[in-house]
Amino acid sequence: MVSKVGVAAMSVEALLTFVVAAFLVSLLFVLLGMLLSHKRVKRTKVLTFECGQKPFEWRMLQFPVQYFPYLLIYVVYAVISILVLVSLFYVFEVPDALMRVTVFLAILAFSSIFVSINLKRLVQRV
Amino acid sequence: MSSLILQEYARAAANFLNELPHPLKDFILFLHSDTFIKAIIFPGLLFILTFVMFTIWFERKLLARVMVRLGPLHVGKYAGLLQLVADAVKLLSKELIVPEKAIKPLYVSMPILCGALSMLIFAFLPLGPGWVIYPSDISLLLVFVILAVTPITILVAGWASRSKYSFIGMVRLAFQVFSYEVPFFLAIASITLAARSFNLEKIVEAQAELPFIIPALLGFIVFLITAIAEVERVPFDLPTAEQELVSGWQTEYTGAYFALFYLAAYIKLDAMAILTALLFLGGWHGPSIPGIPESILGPFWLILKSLIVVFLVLLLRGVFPRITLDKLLDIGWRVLIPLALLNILIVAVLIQIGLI
Repeated sequence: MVSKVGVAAMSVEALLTFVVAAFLVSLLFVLLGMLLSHKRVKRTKVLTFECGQKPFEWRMLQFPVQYFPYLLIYVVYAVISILVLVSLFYVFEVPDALMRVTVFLAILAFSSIFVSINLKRLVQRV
Repeated sequence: MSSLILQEYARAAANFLNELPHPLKDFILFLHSDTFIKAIIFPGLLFILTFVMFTIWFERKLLARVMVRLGPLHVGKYAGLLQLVADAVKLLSKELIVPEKAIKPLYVSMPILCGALSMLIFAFLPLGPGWVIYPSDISLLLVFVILAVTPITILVAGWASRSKYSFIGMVRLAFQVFSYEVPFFLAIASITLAARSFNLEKIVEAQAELPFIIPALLGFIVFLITAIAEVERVPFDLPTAEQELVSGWQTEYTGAYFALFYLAAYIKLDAMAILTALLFLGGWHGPSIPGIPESILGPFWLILKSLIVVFLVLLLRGVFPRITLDKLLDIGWRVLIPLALLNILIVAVLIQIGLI
Protein backbone atom coordinates (compact mmCIF):
# COMPACT_ATOMS: atom_id res chain seq x y z
CA MET A 1 0.00 0.00 0.00
CA VAL A 2 1.10 3.55 -0.72
CA SER A 3 1.33 5.76 2.34
CA LYS A 4 -1.28 8.46 2.95
CA VAL A 5 1.21 11.26 2.20
CA GLY A 6 2.09 9.54 -1.08
CA VAL A 7 -1.60 9.35 -2.07
CA ALA A 8 -2.07 13.04 -1.20
CA ALA A 9 0.96 14.05 -3.28
CA MET A 10 -0.23 11.94 -6.23
CA SER A 11 -3.73 13.45 -6.12
CA VAL A 12 -2.31 16.99 -5.97
CA GLU A 13 -0.24 16.11 -9.03
CA ALA A 14 -3.37 14.81 -10.78
CA LEU A 15 -5.30 17.95 -9.84
CA LEU A 16 -2.54 20.20 -11.18
CA THR A 17 -2.36 18.19 -14.43
CA PHE A 18 -6.12 18.46 -14.80
CA VAL A 19 -6.21 22.22 -14.17
CA VAL A 20 -3.40 22.83 -16.67
CA ALA A 21 -5.11 20.56 -19.23
CA ALA A 22 -8.47 22.32 -18.77
CA PHE A 23 -6.94 25.76 -19.33
CA LEU A 24 -4.90 24.47 -22.28
CA VAL A 25 -7.98 22.99 -24.00
CA SER A 26 -9.87 26.27 -23.56
CA LEU A 27 -6.90 28.22 -24.92
CA LEU A 28 -6.57 25.75 -27.79
CA PHE A 29 -10.16 26.47 -28.81
CA VAL A 30 -9.47 30.19 -29.09
CA LEU A 31 -6.13 29.65 -30.86
CA LEU A 32 -7.75 27.30 -33.39
CA GLY A 33 -10.46 29.88 -33.90
CA MET A 34 -7.83 32.53 -34.57
CA LEU A 35 -6.07 30.26 -37.06
CA LEU A 36 -9.13 28.99 -38.92
CA SER A 37 -11.32 32.08 -38.98
CA HIS A 38 -11.24 34.41 -41.94
CA LYS A 39 -10.40 38.01 -41.21
CA ARG A 40 -12.26 40.71 -43.06
CA VAL A 41 -12.35 43.98 -41.16
CA LYS A 42 -15.52 45.97 -41.77
CA ARG A 43 -16.75 48.76 -39.56
CA THR A 44 -20.36 47.53 -39.63
CA LYS A 45 -19.28 44.19 -38.23
CA VAL A 46 -17.72 45.54 -35.05
CA LEU A 47 -20.73 47.66 -34.12
CA THR A 48 -22.82 46.40 -31.20
CA PHE A 49 -25.76 44.23 -32.15
CA GLU A 50 -29.02 46.12 -32.62
CA CYS A 51 -31.34 43.90 -34.70
CA GLY A 52 -29.87 45.04 -38.02
CA GLN A 53 -30.38 48.74 -37.25
CA LYS A 54 -27.68 51.32 -36.68
CA PRO A 55 -27.09 51.30 -32.92
CA PHE A 56 -28.37 54.14 -30.73
CA GLU A 57 -26.05 55.84 -28.29
CA TRP A 58 -25.00 53.54 -25.47
CA ARG A 59 -26.54 54.65 -22.27
CA MET A 60 -26.58 52.95 -18.94
CA LEU A 61 -29.69 50.83 -18.68
CA GLN A 62 -31.63 51.08 -15.48
CA PHE A 63 -31.23 48.43 -12.85
CA PRO A 64 -34.67 46.82 -12.36
CA VAL A 65 -35.56 48.57 -9.08
CA GLN A 66 -38.99 46.98 -8.85
CA TYR A 67 -37.37 43.70 -7.76
CA PHE A 68 -35.45 45.28 -4.87
CA PRO A 69 -37.59 43.65 -2.09
CA TYR A 70 -36.61 40.23 -3.45
CA LEU A 71 -32.95 41.15 -3.09
CA LEU A 72 -33.49 42.00 0.59
CA ILE A 73 -35.32 38.71 1.19
CA TYR A 74 -32.60 36.65 -0.47
CA VAL A 75 -29.85 38.41 1.50
CA VAL A 76 -31.69 37.54 4.74
CA TYR A 77 -32.11 33.91 3.65
CA ALA A 78 -28.44 33.67 2.65
CA VAL A 79 -27.46 34.58 6.23
CA ILE A 80 -29.98 32.03 7.56
CA SER A 81 -28.55 29.30 5.31
CA ILE A 82 -25.10 29.98 6.79
CA LEU A 83 -26.65 29.63 10.26
CA VAL A 84 -28.05 26.24 9.17
CA LEU A 85 -24.60 25.21 7.94
CA VAL A 86 -22.97 26.19 11.24
CA SER A 87 -25.60 24.26 13.20
CA LEU A 88 -24.90 21.21 10.99
CA PHE A 89 -21.20 21.44 11.85
CA TYR A 90 -22.27 21.56 15.50
CA VAL A 91 -24.21 18.32 15.00
CA PHE A 92 -21.19 16.65 13.35
CA GLU A 93 -19.03 17.57 16.36
CA VAL A 94 -21.57 16.97 19.14
CA PRO A 95 -24.16 14.35 18.08
CA ASP A 96 -26.19 14.90 21.28
CA ALA A 97 -27.05 18.43 20.09
CA LEU A 98 -29.40 17.11 17.40
CA MET A 99 -32.51 17.76 19.55
CA ARG A 100 -31.72 21.47 19.97
CA VAL A 101 -30.87 21.84 16.27
CA THR A 102 -34.14 20.16 15.35
CA VAL A 103 -36.06 22.73 17.41
CA PHE A 104 -34.09 25.52 15.68
CA LEU A 105 -34.88 24.04 12.24
CA ALA A 106 -38.57 23.68 13.15
CA ILE A 107 -38.76 27.35 14.13
CA LEU A 108 -37.01 28.34 10.87
CA ALA A 109 -39.20 26.14 8.65
CA PHE A 110 -42.53 27.15 10.13
CA SER A 111 -41.69 30.86 10.34
CA SER A 112 -40.60 30.84 6.68
CA ILE A 113 -43.87 29.12 5.70
CA PHE A 114 -45.83 31.69 7.76
CA VAL A 115 -44.01 34.60 6.11
CA SER A 116 -44.42 33.20 2.61
CA ILE A 117 -48.17 32.77 3.10
CA ASN A 118 -48.71 36.23 4.60
CA LEU A 119 -46.39 38.52 2.62
CA LYS A 120 -47.97 39.33 -0.74
CA ARG A 121 -47.43 41.58 -3.75
CA LEU A 122 -43.71 42.21 -3.46
CA VAL A 123 -43.16 43.71 -6.94
CA GLN A 124 -43.06 47.49 -6.60
CA ARG A 125 -44.59 49.74 -9.22
CA VAL A 126 -42.03 52.35 -10.22
CA MET B 1 1.46 -20.86 -24.60
CA SER B 2 -0.05 -17.43 -25.05
CA SER B 3 1.24 -16.26 -21.64
CA LEU B 4 4.76 -17.15 -22.78
CA ILE B 5 4.34 -14.96 -25.85
CA LEU B 6 3.01 -12.13 -23.67
CA GLN B 7 6.03 -12.40 -21.38
CA GLU B 8 8.27 -12.25 -24.42
CA TYR B 9 6.50 -9.09 -25.57
CA ALA B 10 6.76 -7.52 -22.10
CA ARG B 11 10.51 -8.21 -21.98
CA ALA B 12 10.97 -6.75 -25.46
CA ALA B 13 8.97 -3.67 -24.49
CA ALA B 14 11.03 -3.18 -21.30
CA ASN B 15 14.26 -3.46 -23.31
CA PHE B 16 12.96 -0.95 -25.86
CA LEU B 17 12.01 1.46 -23.07
CA ASN B 18 15.44 1.20 -21.44
CA GLU B 19 17.21 2.03 -24.68
CA LEU B 20 15.22 5.25 -25.22
CA PRO B 21 16.76 8.63 -24.29
CA HIS B 22 15.88 9.90 -20.82
CA PRO B 23 13.18 12.60 -21.33
CA LEU B 24 11.28 10.38 -23.79
CA LYS B 25 11.35 7.45 -21.36
CA ASP B 26 10.05 9.65 -18.55
CA PHE B 27 7.27 10.91 -20.82
CA ILE B 28 6.18 7.37 -21.72
CA LEU B 29 6.23 6.36 -18.05
CA PHE B 30 4.10 9.45 -17.25
CA LEU B 31 1.61 8.45 -19.97
CA HIS B 32 0.85 5.18 -18.21
CA SER B 33 0.93 6.58 -14.66
CA ASP B 34 -2.16 6.89 -12.45
CA THR B 35 -1.92 10.70 -12.54
CA PHE B 36 -2.18 10.95 -16.31
CA ILE B 37 -5.00 8.41 -16.63
CA LYS B 38 -7.07 10.14 -13.95
CA ALA B 39 -6.46 13.70 -15.14
CA ILE B 40 -6.71 13.20 -18.89
CA ILE B 41 -8.63 10.01 -19.61
CA PHE B 42 -11.29 8.70 -17.29
CA PRO B 43 -12.70 11.11 -14.76
CA GLY B 44 -10.76 13.81 -16.57
CA LEU B 45 -10.67 15.64 -19.85
CA LEU B 46 -11.51 13.07 -22.54
CA PHE B 47 -14.41 11.64 -20.55
CA ILE B 48 -15.88 15.12 -20.00
CA LEU B 49 -15.58 16.05 -23.68
CA THR B 50 -17.14 12.78 -24.93
CA PHE B 51 -19.94 13.00 -22.35
CA VAL B 52 -20.69 16.58 -23.41
CA MET B 53 -20.60 15.66 -27.12
CA PHE B 54 -23.02 12.81 -26.44
CA THR B 55 -25.31 15.11 -24.42
CA ILE B 56 -25.52 17.73 -27.17
CA TRP B 57 -26.16 15.10 -29.85
CA PHE B 58 -28.75 13.43 -27.62
CA GLU B 59 -30.50 16.74 -26.98
CA ARG B 60 -30.82 17.52 -30.68
CA LYS B 61 -32.07 14.02 -31.46
CA LEU B 62 -34.53 14.02 -28.54
CA LEU B 63 -35.97 17.47 -29.30
CA ALA B 64 -36.35 16.44 -32.92
CA ARG B 65 -38.31 13.36 -31.87
CA VAL B 66 -40.49 15.50 -29.56
CA MET B 67 -41.32 17.73 -32.54
CA VAL B 68 -41.78 14.73 -34.90
CA ARG B 69 -38.65 15.58 -36.89
CA LEU B 70 -35.65 13.38 -37.70
CA GLY B 71 -32.85 15.48 -36.22
CA PRO B 72 -29.19 15.17 -37.29
CA LEU B 73 -29.00 12.41 -39.87
CA HIS B 74 -26.39 12.68 -42.59
CA VAL B 75 -23.01 13.43 -41.01
CA GLY B 76 -21.38 10.31 -39.62
CA LYS B 77 -22.11 6.63 -40.00
CA TYR B 78 -24.98 6.30 -37.54
CA ALA B 79 -27.74 8.90 -36.96
CA GLY B 80 -25.61 12.01 -37.42
CA LEU B 81 -23.21 11.22 -34.58
CA LEU B 82 -20.47 13.36 -36.15
CA GLN B 83 -22.77 16.38 -36.65
CA LEU B 84 -21.23 17.93 -33.56
CA VAL B 85 -17.69 17.72 -34.93
CA ALA B 86 -18.89 19.38 -38.12
CA ASP B 87 -20.60 22.11 -36.09
CA ALA B 88 -17.47 22.68 -34.00
CA VAL B 89 -15.33 23.09 -37.11
CA LYS B 90 -17.92 25.48 -38.55
CA LEU B 91 -17.96 27.55 -35.35
CA LEU B 92 -14.16 27.67 -35.21
CA SER B 93 -13.98 28.96 -38.79
CA LYS B 94 -16.32 31.88 -38.03
CA GLU B 95 -14.91 35.34 -37.51
CA LEU B 96 -13.78 36.34 -34.01
CA ILE B 97 -15.49 39.70 -33.67
CA VAL B 98 -14.68 42.00 -30.76
CA PRO B 99 -17.19 44.87 -30.75
CA GLU B 100 -15.58 48.31 -30.78
CA LYS B 101 -17.30 49.38 -27.57
CA ALA B 102 -16.39 46.21 -25.66
CA ILE B 103 -13.81 46.16 -22.86
CA LYS B 104 -11.35 44.01 -24.78
CA PRO B 105 -9.21 42.22 -22.14
CA LEU B 106 -12.25 41.13 -20.12
CA TYR B 107 -14.28 40.27 -23.23
CA VAL B 108 -11.55 38.01 -24.59
CA SER B 109 -10.47 36.30 -21.37
CA MET B 110 -13.87 35.45 -19.87
CA PRO B 111 -14.82 32.58 -22.28
CA ILE B 112 -11.51 30.83 -21.55
CA LEU B 113 -11.98 31.26 -17.80
CA CYS B 114 -15.60 30.08 -17.97
CA GLY B 115 -14.75 26.92 -19.92
CA ALA B 116 -11.80 25.99 -17.70
CA LEU B 117 -13.65 26.69 -14.44
CA SER B 118 -16.68 24.65 -15.39
CA MET B 119 -14.39 21.73 -16.30
CA LEU B 120 -12.82 22.09 -12.85
CA ILE B 121 -16.06 20.88 -11.19
CA PHE B 122 -15.25 17.37 -12.40
CA ALA B 123 -11.97 17.33 -10.42
CA PHE B 124 -13.92 16.74 -7.20
CA LEU B 125 -16.78 14.53 -8.45
CA PRO B 126 -16.08 10.85 -7.74
CA LEU B 127 -17.32 8.64 -10.60
CA GLY B 128 -16.79 5.37 -8.75
CA PRO B 129 -15.02 4.01 -5.68
CA GLY B 130 -11.54 5.55 -6.04
CA TRP B 131 -12.29 7.11 -9.44
CA VAL B 132 -11.73 10.73 -8.46
CA ILE B 133 -9.04 13.20 -9.50
CA TYR B 134 -8.69 14.94 -6.15
CA PRO B 135 -10.14 13.08 -3.13
CA SER B 136 -11.01 15.57 -0.41
CA ASP B 137 -12.98 15.62 2.84
CA ILE B 138 -14.95 18.70 1.76
CA SER B 139 -15.46 17.79 -1.90
CA LEU B 140 -19.17 18.75 -1.82
CA LEU B 141 -18.29 22.24 -0.57
CA LEU B 142 -15.57 22.57 -3.23
CA VAL B 143 -18.06 21.63 -5.97
CA PHE B 144 -20.51 24.17 -4.56
CA VAL B 145 -17.85 26.87 -4.48
CA ILE B 146 -16.90 26.34 -8.13
CA LEU B 147 -20.57 26.24 -9.14
CA ALA B 148 -20.99 29.57 -7.35
CA VAL B 149 -17.94 31.14 -9.03
CA THR B 150 -18.67 30.26 -12.68
CA PRO B 151 -21.67 32.66 -13.04
CA ILE B 152 -19.35 35.55 -12.10
CA THR B 153 -17.32 35.01 -15.28
CA ILE B 154 -20.59 35.15 -17.24
CA LEU B 155 -21.60 38.36 -15.45
CA VAL B 156 -18.28 39.96 -16.34
CA ALA B 157 -18.65 38.78 -19.95
CA GLY B 158 -22.11 40.33 -20.18
CA TRP B 159 -20.83 43.57 -18.68
CA ALA B 160 -17.76 43.69 -20.91
CA SER B 161 -19.74 43.31 -24.16
CA ARG B 162 -21.38 46.73 -23.61
CA SER B 163 -24.56 45.87 -25.43
CA LYS B 164 -28.15 46.42 -24.33
CA TYR B 165 -29.15 42.80 -24.75
CA SER B 166 -26.06 41.56 -22.92
CA PHE B 167 -26.74 43.95 -20.05
CA ILE B 168 -30.37 42.85 -19.63
CA GLY B 169 -29.37 39.18 -19.82
CA MET B 170 -26.60 39.75 -17.29
CA VAL B 171 -28.95 41.38 -14.76
CA ARG B 172 -31.44 38.54 -15.17
CA LEU B 173 -28.66 35.99 -14.65
CA ALA B 174 -27.55 37.77 -11.50
CA PHE B 175 -31.06 37.70 -10.05
CA GLN B 176 -31.67 34.10 -11.05
CA VAL B 177 -28.41 32.46 -10.04
CA PHE B 178 -27.74 34.30 -6.82
CA SER B 179 -31.29 33.90 -5.56
CA TYR B 180 -31.52 30.19 -6.40
CA GLU B 181 -28.20 29.44 -4.70
CA VAL B 182 -29.92 29.67 -1.29
CA PRO B 183 -32.47 26.82 -1.78
CA PHE B 184 -29.77 24.87 -3.67
CA PHE B 185 -27.47 25.10 -0.68
CA LEU B 186 -30.25 24.22 1.78
CA ALA B 187 -31.13 21.11 -0.26
CA ILE B 188 -27.47 20.05 -0.16
CA ALA B 189 -27.34 20.72 3.60
CA SER B 190 -30.05 18.14 4.29
CA ILE B 191 -27.95 15.48 2.54
CA THR B 192 -24.86 16.35 4.58
CA LEU B 193 -26.96 16.07 7.73
CA ALA B 194 -28.19 12.61 6.67
CA ALA B 195 -24.68 11.38 5.77
CA ARG B 196 -22.83 13.34 8.50
CA SER B 197 -20.11 14.25 6.00
CA PHE B 198 -19.14 16.69 3.24
CA ASN B 199 -17.14 13.99 1.46
CA LEU B 200 -18.99 12.85 -1.66
CA GLU B 201 -17.56 9.32 -1.45
CA LYS B 202 -18.79 8.97 2.14
CA ILE B 203 -22.18 10.38 1.13
CA VAL B 204 -22.50 7.64 -1.51
CA GLU B 205 -21.33 4.98 0.93
CA ALA B 206 -24.05 6.10 3.35
CA GLN B 207 -26.64 5.31 0.63
CA ALA B 208 -25.71 1.62 0.34
CA GLU B 209 -29.06 0.46 1.73
CA LEU B 210 -31.39 3.37 1.00
CA PRO B 211 -30.84 6.13 -1.56
CA PHE B 212 -31.46 9.55 -0.05
CA ILE B 213 -34.27 10.32 -2.49
CA ILE B 214 -36.66 8.43 -0.19
CA PRO B 215 -36.08 10.25 3.13
CA ALA B 216 -35.32 13.58 1.37
CA LEU B 217 -37.89 13.59 -1.43
CA LEU B 218 -38.72 17.28 -0.92
CA GLY B 219 -35.01 18.05 -1.04
CA PHE B 220 -34.70 16.16 -4.32
CA ILE B 221 -37.49 18.22 -5.89
CA VAL B 222 -35.95 21.49 -4.67
CA PHE B 223 -32.47 20.41 -5.75
CA LEU B 224 -33.58 19.44 -9.26
CA ILE B 225 -35.51 22.68 -9.85
CA THR B 226 -32.68 24.87 -8.55
CA ALA B 227 -30.07 22.87 -10.48
CA ILE B 228 -32.02 23.46 -13.70
CA ALA B 229 -32.13 27.16 -12.86
CA GLU B 230 -28.39 27.24 -12.14
CA VAL B 231 -27.53 25.78 -15.54
CA GLU B 232 -30.12 27.99 -17.33
CA ARG B 233 -32.14 25.18 -18.85
CA VAL B 234 -35.52 25.83 -20.33
CA PRO B 235 -38.19 26.76 -17.85
CA PHE B 236 -35.52 29.06 -16.37
CA ASP B 237 -33.56 30.21 -19.44
CA LEU B 238 -34.34 33.89 -18.88
CA PRO B 239 -30.72 35.12 -19.21
CA THR B 240 -30.37 33.72 -22.74
CA ALA B 241 -33.99 34.08 -23.84
CA GLU B 242 -33.73 33.75 -27.59
CA GLN B 243 -37.07 35.26 -28.51
CA GLU B 244 -36.84 38.43 -26.40
CA LEU B 245 -33.13 39.12 -25.93
CA VAL B 246 -31.54 37.69 -29.13
CA SER B 247 -29.43 35.44 -26.89
CA GLY B 248 -28.98 37.45 -23.72
CA TRP B 249 -25.45 37.77 -22.41
CA GLN B 250 -24.09 35.73 -25.36
CA THR B 251 -25.34 38.19 -27.98
CA GLU B 252 -21.97 39.71 -28.95
CA TYR B 253 -19.95 36.50 -28.82
CA THR B 254 -19.06 34.71 -32.06
CA GLY B 255 -16.96 31.82 -33.26
CA ALA B 256 -14.63 30.11 -30.82
CA TYR B 257 -15.68 32.32 -27.89
CA PHE B 258 -19.30 31.29 -28.36
CA ALA B 259 -18.25 27.65 -28.72
CA LEU B 260 -16.49 27.83 -25.35
CA PHE B 261 -19.57 29.28 -23.60
CA TYR B 262 -21.75 26.64 -25.26
CA LEU B 263 -19.40 23.89 -24.12
CA ALA B 264 -19.26 25.31 -20.59
CA ALA B 265 -23.07 25.32 -20.29
CA TYR B 266 -23.28 21.64 -21.22
CA ILE B 267 -20.34 20.71 -18.96
CA LYS B 268 -22.21 22.32 -16.07
CA LEU B 269 -25.39 20.45 -17.03
CA ASP B 270 -23.54 17.12 -16.96
CA ALA B 271 -21.86 17.97 -13.67
CA MET B 272 -25.26 18.77 -12.18
CA ALA B 273 -26.67 15.45 -13.44
CA ILE B 274 -23.78 13.50 -11.92
CA LEU B 275 -24.13 15.47 -8.66
CA THR B 276 -27.85 14.60 -8.54
CA ALA B 277 -27.06 10.92 -9.04
CA LEU B 278 -24.37 11.06 -6.33
CA LEU B 279 -26.45 12.91 -3.75
CA PHE B 280 -29.91 11.44 -4.19
CA LEU B 281 -29.99 8.39 -6.45
CA GLY B 282 -27.48 6.20 -4.63
CA GLY B 283 -24.38 7.01 -6.67
CA TRP B 284 -22.54 3.94 -7.91
CA HIS B 285 -24.61 1.42 -5.96
CA GLY B 286 -26.61 -0.91 -8.15
CA PRO B 287 -27.33 -4.59 -8.76
CA SER B 288 -24.10 -6.47 -9.45
CA ILE B 289 -23.68 -8.30 -12.75
CA PRO B 290 -21.62 -11.54 -12.53
CA GLY B 291 -18.38 -11.46 -14.48
CA ILE B 292 -17.94 -7.67 -14.45
CA PRO B 293 -15.55 -6.28 -11.81
CA GLU B 294 -16.75 -3.71 -9.26
CA SER B 295 -14.42 -0.98 -10.50
CA ILE B 296 -16.13 -0.93 -13.92
CA LEU B 297 -19.67 -1.58 -12.68
CA GLY B 298 -19.64 1.44 -10.30
CA PRO B 299 -18.99 4.11 -12.97
CA PHE B 300 -21.45 2.29 -15.28
CA TRP B 301 -24.37 2.57 -12.83
CA LEU B 302 -23.46 6.17 -11.96
CA ILE B 303 -23.33 7.26 -15.60
CA LEU B 304 -26.58 5.42 -16.34
CA LYS B 305 -28.34 7.24 -13.48
CA SER B 306 -26.94 10.61 -14.52
CA LEU B 307 -28.04 9.97 -18.12
CA ILE B 308 -31.59 9.44 -16.85
CA VAL B 309 -31.40 12.83 -15.08
CA VAL B 310 -29.97 14.42 -18.26
CA PHE B 311 -32.86 12.92 -20.25
CA LEU B 312 -35.42 14.46 -17.87
CA VAL B 313 -33.75 17.89 -17.96
CA LEU B 314 -33.47 17.87 -21.76
CA LEU B 315 -37.08 16.77 -22.17
CA LEU B 316 -38.23 19.90 -20.31
CA ARG B 317 -37.01 22.01 -23.24
CA GLY B 318 -39.50 20.39 -25.57
CA VAL B 319 -42.37 20.64 -23.11
CA PHE B 320 -42.35 23.81 -21.01
CA PRO B 321 -42.58 27.53 -21.87
CA ARG B 322 -40.34 30.11 -20.21
CA ILE B 323 -41.50 31.78 -16.98
CA THR B 324 -41.14 35.47 -16.13
CA LEU B 325 -38.60 36.99 -13.75
CA ASP B 326 -41.04 38.04 -11.02
CA LYS B 327 -42.61 34.57 -11.00
CA LEU B 328 -39.14 33.01 -10.81
CA LEU B 329 -38.17 35.14 -7.82
CA ASP B 330 -41.55 34.53 -6.19
CA ILE B 331 -41.33 30.74 -6.52
CA GLY B 332 -37.78 30.86 -5.17
CA TRP B 333 -38.55 32.32 -1.77
CA ARG B 334 -42.24 31.48 -1.44
CA VAL B 335 -42.04 27.77 -2.31
CA LEU B 336 -38.48 26.46 -2.63
CA ILE B 337 -36.85 27.89 0.52
CA PRO B 338 -39.68 26.82 2.91
CA LEU B 339 -39.71 23.37 1.25
CA ALA B 340 -35.93 23.05 1.65
CA LEU B 341 -36.07 24.08 5.34
CA LEU B 342 -38.97 21.66 5.91
CA ASN B 343 -36.89 18.95 4.23
CA ILE B 344 -33.96 19.50 6.62
CA LEU B 345 -36.40 19.35 9.52
CA ILE B 346 -37.84 16.04 8.24
CA VAL B 347 -34.34 14.57 7.87
CA ALA B 348 -33.39 15.70 11.38
CA VAL B 349 -36.57 14.16 12.84
CA LEU B 350 -35.93 10.90 10.93
CA ILE B 351 -32.42 10.76 12.42
CA GLN B 352 -33.89 11.37 15.89
CA ILE B 353 -36.31 8.47 15.45
CA GLY B 354 -33.46 6.34 14.16
CA LEU B 355 -34.75 5.58 10.66
CA ILE B 356 -31.62 6.79 8.81
